Amino acid sequence: MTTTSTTPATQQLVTFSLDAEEYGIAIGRVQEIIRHSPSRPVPGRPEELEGVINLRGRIIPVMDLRARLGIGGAAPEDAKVVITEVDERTVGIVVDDVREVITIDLADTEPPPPCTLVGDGDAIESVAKVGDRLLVVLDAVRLLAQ
Amino acid sequence: MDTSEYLGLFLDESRESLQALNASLLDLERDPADAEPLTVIFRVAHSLKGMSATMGFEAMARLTHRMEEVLAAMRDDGAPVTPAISDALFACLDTLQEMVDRVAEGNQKEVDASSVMTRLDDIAHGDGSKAALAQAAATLAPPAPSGALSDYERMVVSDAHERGLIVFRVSVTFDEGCQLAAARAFMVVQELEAFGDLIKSEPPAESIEAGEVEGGVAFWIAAESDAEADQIHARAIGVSEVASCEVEQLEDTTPVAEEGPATDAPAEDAPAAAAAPRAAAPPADRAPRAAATTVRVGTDRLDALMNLMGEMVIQRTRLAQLSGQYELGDLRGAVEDMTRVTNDLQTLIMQVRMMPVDAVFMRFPRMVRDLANTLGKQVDLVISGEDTELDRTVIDGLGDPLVHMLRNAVDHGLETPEDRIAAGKEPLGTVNLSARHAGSSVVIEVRDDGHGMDPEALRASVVRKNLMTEAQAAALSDEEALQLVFLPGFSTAKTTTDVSGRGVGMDAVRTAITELSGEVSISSVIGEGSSFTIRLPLTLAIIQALLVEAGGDGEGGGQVWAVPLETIEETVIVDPADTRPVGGQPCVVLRESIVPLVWLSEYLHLGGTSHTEDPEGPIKVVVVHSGPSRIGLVVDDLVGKQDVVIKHLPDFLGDVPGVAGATILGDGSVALILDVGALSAGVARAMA
Repeated sequence: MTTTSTTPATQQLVTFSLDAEEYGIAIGRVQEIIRHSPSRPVPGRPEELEGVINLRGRIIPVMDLRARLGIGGAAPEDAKVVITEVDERTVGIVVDDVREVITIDLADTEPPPPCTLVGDGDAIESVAKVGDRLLVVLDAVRLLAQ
Repeated sequence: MDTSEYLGLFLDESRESLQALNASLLDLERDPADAEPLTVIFRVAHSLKGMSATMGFEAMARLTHRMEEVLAAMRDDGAPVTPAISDALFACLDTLQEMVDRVAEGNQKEVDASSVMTRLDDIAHGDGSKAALAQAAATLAPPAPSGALSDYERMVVSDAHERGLIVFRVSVTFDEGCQLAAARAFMVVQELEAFGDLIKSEPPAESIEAGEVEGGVAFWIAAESDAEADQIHARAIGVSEVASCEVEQLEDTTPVAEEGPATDAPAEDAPAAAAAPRAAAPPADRAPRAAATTVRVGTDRLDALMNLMGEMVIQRTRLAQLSGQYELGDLRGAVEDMTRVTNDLQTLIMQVRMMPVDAVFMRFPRMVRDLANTLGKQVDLVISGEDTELDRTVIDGLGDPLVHMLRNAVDHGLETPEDRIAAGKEPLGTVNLSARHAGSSVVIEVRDDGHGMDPEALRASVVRKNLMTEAQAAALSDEEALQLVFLPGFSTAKTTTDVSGRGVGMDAVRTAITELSGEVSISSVIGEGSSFTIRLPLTLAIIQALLVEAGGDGEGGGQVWAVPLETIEETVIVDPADTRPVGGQPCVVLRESIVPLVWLSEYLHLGGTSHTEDPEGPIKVVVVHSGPSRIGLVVDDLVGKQDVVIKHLPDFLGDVPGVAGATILGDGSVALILDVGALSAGVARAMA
């Protein structure tokens, strides 16, 4: 009997959108999704940090993903917050809309174009082709780095 | 027998026992004539021996037994406790401590106790009391027929005899169908105590309380020499439902070797007579009267309790707020009742988490004693306020900083006896370690009467260490020069001793204290001594705060901030016309002192329009203090006073200047807590 060791060939993602662009984050990193409500601004903090919110008794920082990725613009009225967790750190990410959970084939992904990796694009892990859509897969660890 | 589940208990109890032994040995060393420490030592050593034998730790049991034997021989012989002897005994305690530590670590290697055993042997043979030693060994030997006295009790009995008291054994049976036998037994004890102290009861107190008195009970009392068996019999049988009573006078069982001072007529001076009731006092505690009992609780449970209580405070506030919003008759009453109950619960839980500082202080006498001996200094450590209570998490963090500070005081602060005499001081130096409550803080002080700190020497040292230029050092005031010791890598000692290391202690001390949300300050007078003061908040997690609004535009829309109530002196409404600029900073005169005004929205860059160069209406000012300085915070509005649960800001945010933490208000929104200390430091810097 032959045993084949397989490297994980697929990745399960939660996908969301910012304007017309689609993004995804590994599902293992997503704790929950909540409605976007006004967060408490913290003085002297960088642009991308919108503020902090109360999540069932815990104080969680909320990141403005548009600012983080250098996209600009403002979140819509019915924006959502994706509560993401890396190690002990929990951060909420503001997105326009949450789409679905999909499984992508790693064979269908490509590393991001080098020019996008500098500056605000450093959190991009790969770009995936899903049907005729393009999905930017974000690296949660780099996204949540201080 | 599988004793592993008792291991935790054994470790706790043996650590406590060793602590008690250390303390008693120190007392004995200080006053060799005092009988009480010896009593404690015997009792504790004996139970430690029993515990370790039960757990199978043979070496510990053997060493403790040998200690007991030697001590008993010394006591019987009346041999004084010389420094050599106490050193040897301390060495034994250290060996026992090492054994316990190895058990805790799971280290199977045996501790080599041969050297301390030899020292014990030397003591035993040194004063030629081999006979007394053998005798002591005999009296300490195990076999005890049921109903007879244990070693300890026998010792107490012979002690009583030595002091001229008589020991009676009073056996009592109760009527059949006696309903509350335990109560009857208690009444008998009350009658007996008119004659003297209770030494022992059979069955033990707990069993009697549980009502297990079928076969009757027996009490041993130590009575005055003029007490008569008939009198005792009459009193005992006078208690209702007592069926029969037998009184037996016990023979004097002290070993024949007793001659001389021990058996003098009762015309002893007061100390001996006082010592007798004291010797009988510990067993009297075992009488059928509930003594204060304590329970050990794991710290993780306490932490969980604390967290839940914090949540409860939040929800209670929320309920109160909702109840105010929706007028539902009965709801208000119910919420008020619940608030009362939760307040009481909160207070109690706070107290549960509080421990007396003694928990930290108690190991210091031994440490200072050893340190003084090593360094050739004479030190008197005076401790006061040791029952001041602190939150247990704070206590845990206090140990190391205090060790550093005490070591510094003894090593660098105090002079050698020769130097002290040359300076016209007593050769015995004093270190004062004190703790007290001050407002909602606890103040702990380490003060020595040594040679003090010299600002000039400190300035020179900091330049020599290339931490500052000469010009910078010269610009420091004397007070600022004292603060130099907190710089990392600083030490004024010409030679670093291996005791205090390189004086890096103070830098680490300040870090540790800051982590406890406290502050350290120094004051010193050359030639007279130095004093280090630690100020800590009483409780870390829940504080009272004043909620204020700032950063709005006069119509509202500002942010809610929580200002810790303990930092607030007062709130005032100030007429803008009364403000004066001082050094460019608008100030107001409050009862003859100048208070600088800081617009909170401006300091925190909150935006809004409430800060204008020329405010029109009256301004609301919250006067806060941090250390000696006072600042007037200008806010949009005062919202109210509230209990606030401190939540730490997520690490993700890093250090946020001006913010000490966050909290969740009754309506679920987040409010930030103002860091008054940082704010006042920032203002001071800006004004300089």
